[in-house]
Amino acid sequence: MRSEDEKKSLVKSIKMTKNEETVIKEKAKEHNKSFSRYMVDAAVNDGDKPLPPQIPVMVTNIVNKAEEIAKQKNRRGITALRKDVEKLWSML
Amino acid sequence: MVNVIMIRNTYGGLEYLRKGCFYVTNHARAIAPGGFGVNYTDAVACYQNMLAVKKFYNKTSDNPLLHIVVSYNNCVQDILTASRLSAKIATFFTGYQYVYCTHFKDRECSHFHMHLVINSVSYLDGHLISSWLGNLHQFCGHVAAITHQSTWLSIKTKTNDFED
Repeated sequence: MRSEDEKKSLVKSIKMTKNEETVIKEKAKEHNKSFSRYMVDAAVNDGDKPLPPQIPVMVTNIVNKAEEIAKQKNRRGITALRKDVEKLWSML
Repeated sequence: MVNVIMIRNTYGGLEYLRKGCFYVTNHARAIAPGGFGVNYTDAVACYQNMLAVKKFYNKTSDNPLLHIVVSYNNCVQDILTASRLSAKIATFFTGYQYVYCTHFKDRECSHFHMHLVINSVSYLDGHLISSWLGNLHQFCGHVAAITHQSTWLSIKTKTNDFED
């Protein structure tokens, strides 16, 4: 059961320009989120938490793979690992 | 036939998640543990990795995880085959952190089974995982394609699934 402070129980109306609405809609679509979800996430998480969970998730996977490579002494694994790191760079 | 068992336990809270991480990463019993987006070599770190995503999206109080057991029939006779199948099966839930392992349990018609513990909150967008029947049937299709066997899905309600 979701706790009271995690329930989305508040409804707020806000003012914005047509241009601002267009930009937010596009960004929300890019992130596969609804208009309101994107706005809340951006406001709540982007200010003091600039690191999205995708980054530590990817880094953790890279470390996990490195551990497997070390166990198996697998040269081809290192090539795959480098591709993962390139993918991480491409997120910037 | 491969048995796919979805275990429902919606009352455990974060303690249930902690128990799940310890159970699956238990070095004494787990064969070839693995995971995505978590440190599967350390139960505490694994728990913290999943909890961090929940906190990021402010979703710490929902059902914390999805626990699925896939029980291979006795066509799977060795540890290597079982652990390879488990690693492939676990990849189904993209967008979610997970940890898995294979266990050996000698029964009449099955020697190995896998435990898959999936964080209920997506690390990509915070969406809660869907355990609706359609999604589970898709998962069964995925298992069938990997094992080349038919699957049997059952849903069990348990409160002690990480305590044997």
